[in-house]
Amino acid sequence: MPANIWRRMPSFYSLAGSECMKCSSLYFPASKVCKKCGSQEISERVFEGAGEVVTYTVVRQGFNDDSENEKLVCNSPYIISIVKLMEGPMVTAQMADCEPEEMKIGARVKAVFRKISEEGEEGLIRYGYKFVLA
Amino acid sequence: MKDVGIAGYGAYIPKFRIKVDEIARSWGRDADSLKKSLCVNEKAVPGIDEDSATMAVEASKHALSMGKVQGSSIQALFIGSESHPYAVKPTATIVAEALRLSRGLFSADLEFACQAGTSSMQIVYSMIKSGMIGYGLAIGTDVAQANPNDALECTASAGSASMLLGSENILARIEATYSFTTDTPDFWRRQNQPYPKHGGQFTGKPAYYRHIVECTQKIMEMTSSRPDDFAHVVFHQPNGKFPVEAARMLGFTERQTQNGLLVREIGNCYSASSLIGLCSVLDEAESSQRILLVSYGSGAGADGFVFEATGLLPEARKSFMKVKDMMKNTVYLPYEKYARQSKKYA
Repeated sequence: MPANIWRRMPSFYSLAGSECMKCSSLYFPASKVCKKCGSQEISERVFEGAGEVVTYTVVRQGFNDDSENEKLVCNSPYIISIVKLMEGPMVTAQMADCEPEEMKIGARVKAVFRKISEEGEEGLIRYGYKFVLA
Repeated sequence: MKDVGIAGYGAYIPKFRIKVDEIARSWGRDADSLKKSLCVNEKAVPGIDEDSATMAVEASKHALSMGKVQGSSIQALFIGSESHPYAVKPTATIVAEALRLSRGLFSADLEFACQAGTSSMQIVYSMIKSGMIGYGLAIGTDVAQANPNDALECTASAGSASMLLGSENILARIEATYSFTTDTPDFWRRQNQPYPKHGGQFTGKPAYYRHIVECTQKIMEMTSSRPDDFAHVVFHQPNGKFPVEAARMLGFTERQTQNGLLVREIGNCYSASSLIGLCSVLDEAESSQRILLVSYGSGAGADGFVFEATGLLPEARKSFMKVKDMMKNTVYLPYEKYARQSKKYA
């Protein structure tokens, strides 16, 4: 898990994706090759975190409670959204501080920094983005 | 020497609250007598996925944005908390990475009970004053712990405040800082223990009051100030009674303390307590007004600061949500959900 967390820090911590220097296509997560024009001239692009809910689902299934494994840090049920960022790319993410009845398609949201998962009481904590209603 | 001060500030208070009435109900205690003795009505509760690091990031985003300073310009980050997520692994590195701060960064986690946020501010202030760095962040952040059914459970809350310090575009100039420190065992938590212990009434006279009063008197002497020289006064807020009584003892009026006194609605955010009060004062202070801040940390110590608001403050804060508006967006929890969210019975 340490290497996995460490490699993904830029995208998980600060919504860092990529931008094609030739055709300006934007990607999240980052892509090393532009899927539109094939260019490998890519630079990092950090997204603001503001967006709109395209769709969402409410997950009511309980999650693994085995403390040896990585466990999500959230209440149950929890909400997974597909968010269209204002810059264009779409992100799949968990909602925070939000009940299912408050959700609606088209709702404006913003990214926040939260705990995503942890390996029990002794292991590492994975931090990253979730979204809250704006 | 150049002026150093606050170039941006930000507070973060979680959305969730629990009322003292609800805590009292669940333990079969008399809510009215608890509220009367503590002068606290409700407290902020973190979301299940929030901790001292996540709240520090949110408060700091606000501070950097207000100061119009890029993370890459920050050369120091000190974080005061008594609830760092790891016993060994810095909170500062997590926050620095999330804010994309400079890799050339002086940083450390500090712990001095509720005082470590202002201790962070003294370190960053000194580094800027000496010319070592240009900008730095000083943070007080806590998810306060309290034993279930202890009176402390009615006040121990969560929150974060971040101060962007620099020597350019200053919103509030730091005139002076002073610390008063003694070995006073009023509140403690041993290694590997989840909840702190406290000395009951001993936390008052020889602890909180002595340190706040001595620190305040000394910094007023250093700055040749009288109580009516300050438009706003903020003391650490372990409950609603102590800071009001300390203000009265020192000759301050209710009008001077009202903008920064938030404990009745959000509880005691430990290291963030006095700094969130300062943020609320900065939301209202006018140009040239002087502000007195005195934190308190059990164990024990008090850090005093005297600020003077500059003409840049009203314009800089204009497009940012005030602390008191932030406090309006709340969801009240029943005790069962609060206990699950706070992992009290995980």
